[in-house]
Amino acid sequence: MNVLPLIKSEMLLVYGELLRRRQALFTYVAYPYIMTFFIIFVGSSVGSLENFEVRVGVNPFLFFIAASFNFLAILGIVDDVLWSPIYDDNIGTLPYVLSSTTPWFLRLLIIPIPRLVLTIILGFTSLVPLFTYFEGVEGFLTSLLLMGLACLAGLLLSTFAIFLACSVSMLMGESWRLLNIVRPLMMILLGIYYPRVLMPFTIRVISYLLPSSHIVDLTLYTLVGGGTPEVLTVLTMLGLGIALAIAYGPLSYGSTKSLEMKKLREGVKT
Amino acid sequence: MSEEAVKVTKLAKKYLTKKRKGLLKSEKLVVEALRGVSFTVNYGEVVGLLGPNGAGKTTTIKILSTLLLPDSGEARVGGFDVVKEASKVRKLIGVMLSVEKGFYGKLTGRENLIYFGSLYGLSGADLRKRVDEVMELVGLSELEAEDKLYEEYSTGMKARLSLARALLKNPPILLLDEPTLGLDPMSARKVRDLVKSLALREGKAVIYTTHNMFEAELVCDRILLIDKGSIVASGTPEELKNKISDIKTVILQVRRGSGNLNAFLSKLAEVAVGDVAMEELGVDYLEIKFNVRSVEESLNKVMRLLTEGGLTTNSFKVVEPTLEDVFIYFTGGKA
Amino acid sequence: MSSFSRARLFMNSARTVFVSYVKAELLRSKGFFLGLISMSAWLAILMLPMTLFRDPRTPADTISTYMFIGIAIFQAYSVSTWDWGWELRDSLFRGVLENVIVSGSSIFVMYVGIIPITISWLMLSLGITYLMLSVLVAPPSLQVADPALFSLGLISLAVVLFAYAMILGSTLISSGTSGAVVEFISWILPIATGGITPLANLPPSMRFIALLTPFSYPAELLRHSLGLASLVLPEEVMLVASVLYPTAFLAFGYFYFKIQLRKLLKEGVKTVSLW
Repeated sequence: MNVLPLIKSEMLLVYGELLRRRQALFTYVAYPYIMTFFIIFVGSSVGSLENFEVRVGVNPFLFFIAASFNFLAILGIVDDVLWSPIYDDNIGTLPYVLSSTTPWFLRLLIIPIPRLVLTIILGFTSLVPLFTYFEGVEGFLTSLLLMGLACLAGLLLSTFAIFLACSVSMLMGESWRLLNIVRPLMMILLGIYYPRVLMPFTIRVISYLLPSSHIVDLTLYTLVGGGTPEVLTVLTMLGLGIALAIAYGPLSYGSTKSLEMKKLREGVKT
Repeated sequence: MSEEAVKVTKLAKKYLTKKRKGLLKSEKLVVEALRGVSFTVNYGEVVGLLGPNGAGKTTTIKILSTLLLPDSGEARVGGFDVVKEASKVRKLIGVMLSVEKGFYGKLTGRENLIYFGSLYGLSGADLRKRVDEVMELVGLSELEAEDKLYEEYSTGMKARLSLARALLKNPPILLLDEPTLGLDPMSARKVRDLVKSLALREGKAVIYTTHNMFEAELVCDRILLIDKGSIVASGTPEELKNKISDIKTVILQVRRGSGNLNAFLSKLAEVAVGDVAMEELGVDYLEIKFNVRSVEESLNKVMRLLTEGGLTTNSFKVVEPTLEDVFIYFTGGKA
Repeated sequence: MSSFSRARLFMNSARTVFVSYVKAELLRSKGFFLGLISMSAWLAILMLPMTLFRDPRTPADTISTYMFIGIAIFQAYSVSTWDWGWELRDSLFRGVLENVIVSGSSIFVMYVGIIPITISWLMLSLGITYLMLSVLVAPPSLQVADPALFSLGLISLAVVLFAYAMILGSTLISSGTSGAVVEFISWILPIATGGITPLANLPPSMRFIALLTPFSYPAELLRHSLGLASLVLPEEVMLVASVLYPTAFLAFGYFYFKIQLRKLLKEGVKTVSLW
């Protein structure tokens, strides 16, 4: 099966749903700044920027713009996968998706790819300017590396996201409510805003099970370590992330099939 | 390809639903949506599934379009089993399930068709060409609606776009679920004419569900009357009307308060076939409509009842049964 | 119809809204419980990094108390934005609003009917926030030093937020503004209006802007009555401002609402997307 037309058509959807809606696009681009500003503003009113720099070892503006970018990039890439079964069911496109010749699982796998465009837009409007401003050429290069890592983190989370989305949809009607709990918990466990090294042991173990958490850790190493983590560290983290993403493959395929069968038994809503 | 496009044999489907009892409790209910339905559809014909809401029309369409698993029975579309060979069936069908939804609001009509076309395995210049063709075919080009956002479409345009999608891969079999629901007369006629020509000129097999008797008569070569999950009658519109050819419809206009109406109506129930329908015509008159068998004998009885009841009639007509009468006859529809 | 009959009809309609909301959202769809957990999870994402700014010498309960009040006010603003203001746009999307207008009933029926749910929701979510802070940082120490000032702060906050909801809601239905813009506003507003942090901690320019808005006065009164912050203006001035400014804002909100409604009827009810 030729996947290029499928990727192109998903790109069309991304363009229509976000890029064409200037209000939504503007807000999306502004979000890293809003979140950074919010956290630093409130944080410095309960403590200080100096305390942060002593504890974490990095400029708080750079840390939080990178964290906010990471947060939004990963969420932007996988959110449409997470919401896809529910969204298509609600607007009435699910019958046509299921009765098409393209397997549903394949479509879900492809959804994140065009969304990388959003990551790149977000990176060039938030990460690159601030890093270049604070750290010059080295900052520019670091920001490109962080963008690449965020894209990888988002893609590696896809199989897990498919598994999650389909499982949640199978568990209950109005599954969007459960998804609205699972999404933020997943984002906490990734260790983006709160590094997992600070988490209690049990929570940390759960965090290790998420493919992208290792890439997020690599991002932190890059930030705190001044841009050059050790080769072994890099390879270990990449390897863990990729291996986990592949391991979730069969689970995600199985859950998609199970959800499809459930829908067919009950009747797809028209 | 065999002549039989669709073959359904003893298809059955039950739904489990809940009936609320008070604020928090509910009781499980089993609804038999289909009770062993059997029929065939050939290439080049439009077969109508005619029935009221909840009769089983949409359930049938969903099973045939591989969107619902039946509990028992068999359905073959294009020679393939809808359960075991669903992926092969999907290559042969074009489906229209809902007039007003099923597209992405922030994409234009054209973009929506390109999107779904790619899901159907079409691509590149072929896809674009096909999109233009179907938009022309359904009349969206003449409305210059191709590049308007879907959320700005009127109901008529949405219906046309839905039909365009069903035609995208030029399927030999079309499954259309109430395709003119909510449309203005002009748009509805356009859709009906197109459907007829697709069957006649292109030899497509079309299953067309509707609860509009008038429309069924205009569009369908054959009609299957479905009620409470069973097919109660089938045939061409003429054949169906002939099934009750010994039944005629009597329409009386009676002046209000001119006699003993209740006594007349209770005795009329013994003469009439099926229920008696009554409608107010302004302040002074009532219209009473009912079916009778053995016309001459029945009419004599009706005249005698009118006289005994002391009722004054303004008009008295005897008409041939319509498809609506056929439907009411076979389903025992209430007045 | 007499004013008393109108008022009775209004309250009966509001009670029906309340009962319908309880049945649909709380009991049948379990939205109450699940929505609260969701809100707490999102809040945790934002709260956790705060601990990284902490001075090790500052008592943890002081930090957690600041955080609790800030979060409480943020949640109150969120409730006003989403439960009240956005609710109108949501009704427009679902085609409910037109039916409400055609019925001849006041749109305020929907607001009033939802209020008891909103307050319960807010109280429970604050309870969860308190628990989370207690686990993650330290139990916030909430001691009301001045009950009268505290009560005035609460009342004037409620008035200001109701007025804001009327302005936001009516703007949304007459312009069909997207959810993305409203979300943007919901982030900026609490910060820019001095809701989250004590006014004394704000840079002078931001403090000036915050004092121009009616939002900062109730928030400042609440913080002061809990012993968390000194007032930046004399107490008498704060008291008068906390009564007059919200009242004027409410009146403005009401008239603005009426104007937007008239505009809606003149231009026709808009078709809006879900978000």
